[in-house]
Amino acid sequence: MQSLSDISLVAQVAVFHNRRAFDQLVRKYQSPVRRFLLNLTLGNEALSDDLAQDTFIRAYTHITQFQGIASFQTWLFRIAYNVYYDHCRKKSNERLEIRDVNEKMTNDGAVHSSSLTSNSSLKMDIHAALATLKEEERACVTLQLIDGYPIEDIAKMTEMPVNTVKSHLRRGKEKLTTYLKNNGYDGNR
Amino acid sequence: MTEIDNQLLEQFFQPAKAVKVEDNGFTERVMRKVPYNAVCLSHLWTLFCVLLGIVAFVVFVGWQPIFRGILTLLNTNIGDLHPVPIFMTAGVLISLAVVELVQKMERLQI
Repeated sequence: MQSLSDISLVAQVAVFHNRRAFDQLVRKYQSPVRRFLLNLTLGNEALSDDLAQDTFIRAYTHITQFQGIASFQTWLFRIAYNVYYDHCRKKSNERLEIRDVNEKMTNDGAVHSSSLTSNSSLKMDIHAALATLKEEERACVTLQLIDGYPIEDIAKMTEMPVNTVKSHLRRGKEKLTTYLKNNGYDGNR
Repeated sequence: MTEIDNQLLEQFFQPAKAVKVEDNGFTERVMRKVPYNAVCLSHLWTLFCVLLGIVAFVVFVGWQPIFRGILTLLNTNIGDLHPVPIFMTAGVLISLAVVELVQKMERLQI
């Protein structure tokens, strides 16, 4: 019934440009989309909210392209990943700075996260751990370990071949395991 | 990657799975930025179609077949109607009514 309800809301937005229906969709999916982008941006709340806004606006303007084969959330995540990827490409100059900051944060063992996450040291640890990964690895690992998507869905969302996703996951998990062991998460500290 | 490594990662990311980001006015901010142009064009297109329909109805004397249909229906014995299409129509209408009701309940957060 949930997906039927989503399809009905999407149809109302696509055919009648019903803003109330779109308001319901945004309210329903803002949390998973913002959480996904928050993890990709390593806890940068302002940036992740801007990207999430762009994601929903792009979803609204391209709503007729939703075919209903995958779930609406999967479709939204695909847009969110594209928005994030576009942002990274546009800011390629700043990216070097971000990498420098990431490396510094990794060396320090802590991420200076925003007000939303600052009260939880565990969330800071998660973002610090994710900072050790490349963007593609981070996206694949986040989608599998936090959002619980199977590899096939991750491949569709990121528009990568299944084997590439598997490689990113393997490398990402190896890096994370090393990071966690070095920081005493395996109980050997 | 060993089974223990996988368990370590699962355990580490477990709290992140439960994180629910509060709306805090995010939806309102998105709705303020949603473009109106598409809505205006959609309304103009709907208006154009309605006017075209009214003109076609008048030009082709659309009320005649309607009256003819009503008269035929009134002159038909109810027993002569085939029950299968009636049940199918009733089924479709009831399904649509249930979907609409569920949506209204969701909107009102019952």
